[in-house]
Amino acid sequence: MLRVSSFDEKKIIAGCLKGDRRSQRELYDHFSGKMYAVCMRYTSDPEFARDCLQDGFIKVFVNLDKYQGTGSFEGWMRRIFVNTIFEELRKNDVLKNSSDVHEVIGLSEDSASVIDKIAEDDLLKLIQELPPGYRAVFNLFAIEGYSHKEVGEILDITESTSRSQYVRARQMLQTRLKELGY
Amino acid sequence: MKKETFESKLQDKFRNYEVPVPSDVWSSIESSLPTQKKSRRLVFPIKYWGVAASVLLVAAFTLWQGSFFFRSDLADQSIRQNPSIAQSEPANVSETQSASSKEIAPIIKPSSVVAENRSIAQRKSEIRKVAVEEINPIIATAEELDDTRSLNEPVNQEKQSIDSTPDQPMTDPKSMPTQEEIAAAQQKFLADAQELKAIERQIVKQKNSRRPLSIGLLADGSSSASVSKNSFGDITLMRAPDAVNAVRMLSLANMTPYQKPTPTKINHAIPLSVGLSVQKALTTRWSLESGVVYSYLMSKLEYSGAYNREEVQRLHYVGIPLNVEFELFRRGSFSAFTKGGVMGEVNVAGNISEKSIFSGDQTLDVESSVREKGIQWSAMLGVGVGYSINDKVRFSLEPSATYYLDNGSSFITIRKEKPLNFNFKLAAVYRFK
Repeated sequence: MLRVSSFDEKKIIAGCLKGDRRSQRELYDHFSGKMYAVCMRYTSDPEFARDCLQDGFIKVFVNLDKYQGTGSFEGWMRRIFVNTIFEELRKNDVLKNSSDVHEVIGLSEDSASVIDKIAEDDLLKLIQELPPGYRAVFNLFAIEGYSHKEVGEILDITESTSRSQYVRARQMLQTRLKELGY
Repeated sequence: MKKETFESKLQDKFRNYEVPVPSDVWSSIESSLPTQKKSRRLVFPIKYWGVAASVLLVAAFTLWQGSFFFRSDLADQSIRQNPSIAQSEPANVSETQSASSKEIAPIIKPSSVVAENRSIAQRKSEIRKVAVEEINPIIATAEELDDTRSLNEPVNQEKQSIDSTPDQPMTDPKSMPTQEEIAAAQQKFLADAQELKAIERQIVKQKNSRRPLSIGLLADGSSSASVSKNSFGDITLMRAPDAVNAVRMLSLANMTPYQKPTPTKINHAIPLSVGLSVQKALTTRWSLESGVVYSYLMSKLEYSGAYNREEVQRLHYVGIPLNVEFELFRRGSFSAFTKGGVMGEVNVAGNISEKSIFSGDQTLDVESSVREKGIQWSAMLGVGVGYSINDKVRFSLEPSATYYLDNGSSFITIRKEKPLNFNFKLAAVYRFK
C-alpha cells in the first residue's frame, strides 16, 4: 500500500477534529490496513471484517475529541476497533458457544521460536481457524496484550475461563503448526 | 535480557501487519460521517477568496498592461444585427484593414439578387462606370502632382487596369483639379453610393427577408477586390476601384496623400478561453493534461485621417494543449494547482466589423470574414482553483501567463503586440487515475 512518507499525526488529528475530509482520508489511508488486519484476526468472514472496519473508523472520527493525546494514538484506535468487533460479535451471538475448559495442559515455550518462521498471512489463517470463543480470547490476551481479568470483563466471562480458553486455543494453534511442519 | 515469549513474538509479528482493504470502504465511511460544519467555514472562504484573488489578479495585470477595454457603443453599432440601424444608415464608403483583406479570398460570384433584378444591376453598373470615368482622371492628376504620395502598388495596378481614360502627363498646374471639381466629384460619388444603398434595400424588400441587410463598399490598398457578405447569404462582389477611388478622392479633397492606414489607437480585450481537458494522474499530485481549448480574441482598432474608422476584430481559435499540473493543496472538494505546458492553436473563424465616419456624419458599416493562416504556438505557466464534483470531474478557473511565438500573421492582436500575454481560462477536467 502506498504510504504518505511524512505522516504528521498531530496535524492530521487536528484536521480531523475540524471535520476536514482530506485529513480524515489521510488518517484512514494511514491506518486502514492495520485496522483491517485487526478485524480479520477476529473473524474468518471478510464481509464481517469490512463492516467492523467501517464502523470502527466512524467511531474514531466521531469520538476523536475524546482522545487525550497522552498515550499512543494507534493504541487508542485499536481499542476502539476491538470494542467495535466485540459489539458486532455479540450481535451475531458468535461468543455464545464459548465454554470453559477445565483441563489445563502445560504449555511449552518451544513454540515461540516457530512464530519467527511462519509468515503473517499463514499465521492469520491459523488464528481464523480457531473456534470463535477461543479465537477471541487468544487475540485479546496474546496479541492485544489484555490481562485475563480484562479479557473476562470484555467477554463477560470469568478470569479463569479466559485463562483456560487461552490455553486451549494455544494448544490448538501449536498442534496445527506441527501438522504444517513448523 | 528480556525473554521473548510466545505472546511477545506474536505481538511483534502482528504489530505492523496490514491486510489490503476493500476499495469501497472509504466511500461508505465518508457517506456516514457528519457534514463538514467546521470545515465549511474554511472551505467557502477559500473558494471566495480564491475567486476574488483571481479577479483582482486579472484586473491588476490588465490595468498594468493598459489593454482592457469594454465594448463601446460604436463597436456594438458595427454589428449588423439591427435592421433599424441598417435602414437608417446613409450612403456608405469604407476601407477594410489592408492586413486583414490579404486574408480574404477574392471570390467572384455574382449576386443572385442582382441576377434577378437586371434593371437594378444595370443601374448599379452605370453608377460605377460614372464613378470610374469621372473620378479617376481627377485622382490621377492629383497623384502625379503629389510628391509625397505613397500609393500602394496594387492600387496603381488597379488604376491601370480599370481606367478607361489613358493617362496623360499633367505637369501643367492649370490642369490640376480645382477644389470645386473635387467637391463636386465627392458629392456625386456619395449620391451614387446612396443610390446603391437604396437599390440594395429595395432588393431586400423584394426578397421579403426579415433579416437585416449588411452591405458596403470595401476599399483596400492591397487587394483588387474585397468581399462583403450580406445577411441573406449572398456574396456580392464590390469592385475595389470604386471604393478605392472614393477614399483616394476624399484624401485628395483634404490635400493629404493617400497612405496605407495604420491604427492610431488599439485596444485589446482580455482573451477568454474555455477548455475541455483530460488528465492522467502520474502521482498523487502530478498530472499530465491535454484536451481542446477554445479562445476568443477581440480588439478594437481606430484609424484617423481623412476620415475616421473604427474596427472591431473578433478571432476564434481552437487549440490542443499539453500541460503538466501540480496540485498545491486540497480542502475537501476545492483544490489549488499550478501548471505549465505548450499549445498549438488554429484560427478557425473571425470577422471584422468596421464603421467609417465621414464628414457630415455620414457613416459606413462593413462586416468581413477573416482567417489567420498557420499554427499559433505558445508556452504557458499558470495557477488555478478547482472544484471537484467527484473523483474524476473538476471545474476550474485558470489564470495564466502565456508566451506566444510569432506565427508571421499580419493580424493586429494582443498576442502579436504583447507576446507575453495574460489568459483567463474556464475548464472542465476529466481525471484518469
